[in-house]
Amino acid sequence: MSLLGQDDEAHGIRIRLDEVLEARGMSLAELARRVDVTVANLSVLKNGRARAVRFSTLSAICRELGCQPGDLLAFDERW
Amino acid sequence: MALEILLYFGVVFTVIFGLLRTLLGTMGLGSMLPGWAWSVSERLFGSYFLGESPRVSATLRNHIDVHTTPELYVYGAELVPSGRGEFSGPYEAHVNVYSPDFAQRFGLLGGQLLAVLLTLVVLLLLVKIVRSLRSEIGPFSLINAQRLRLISWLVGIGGTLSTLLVTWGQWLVLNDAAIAPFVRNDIDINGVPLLVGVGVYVFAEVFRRGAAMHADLERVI
Repeated sequence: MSLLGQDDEAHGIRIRLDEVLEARGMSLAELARRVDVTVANLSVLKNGRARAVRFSTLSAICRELGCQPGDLLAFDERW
Repeated sequence: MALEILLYFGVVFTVIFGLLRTLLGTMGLGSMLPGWAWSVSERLFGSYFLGESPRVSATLRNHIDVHTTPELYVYGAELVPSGRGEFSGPYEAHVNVYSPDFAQRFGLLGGQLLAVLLTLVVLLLLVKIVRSLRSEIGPFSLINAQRLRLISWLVGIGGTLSTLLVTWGQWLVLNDAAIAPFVRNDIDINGVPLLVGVGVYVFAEVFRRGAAMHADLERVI
């Protein structure tokens, strides 16, 4: 539920941040420090509760994890 | 936090010197208080707390002569010394109403009581808005926009109704057969509450737009 009390729009995008973090051996807190985003916000992203991601944030995450956006984002074909 | 405390002081002040004073004063239920209660209140708060009898400001009619000792310096009586002022009519007076009838009491007391109740509600709404400053969401929320809109209605419509009631009560007093020959009964309606209400409504709309924009950015990483 957003601040306006409306349900968020459903979407089929899945976030695989926790898988990439585990593969790189990096903690969420360490990544948050490197990309200058709060742990709380990164946790929101990791748990799939984010409404949108800025390109600047996505670029910073890919830079620190040495991956492509496609490694972090996946589309669920069942959606 | 300091702002919240200040608002709570305002609430307490309004309850004591607004609500209780109006209700228990001479215009309200004061005449029904037993003598001992009146004495206790007077000792604790002084006669100010209980309020004087209702007073209505009035402008004396032009033909009313005012004589004072010493005589007022009036234009036309003597040459006007340079650099000094002068007294000119029509003169103003206060009409003390010792025994208002029901309609006069309803207008004067009702209008004042309504104004005090509106002040209390507005202060409590402001406390809730100020409290939201310390919340995680912050002040820019739909609920605060709704509170501001409610304040605008209370001030604009409620405040105007209050001034109309008081003006009606004052008109009734000045229209009394014993008083009317001496005073002008000009009706002067205060438009300030309506203007302030409109201003707060505009502010509420801006706040609502801000809340919507804030919601758009919520959980945008």
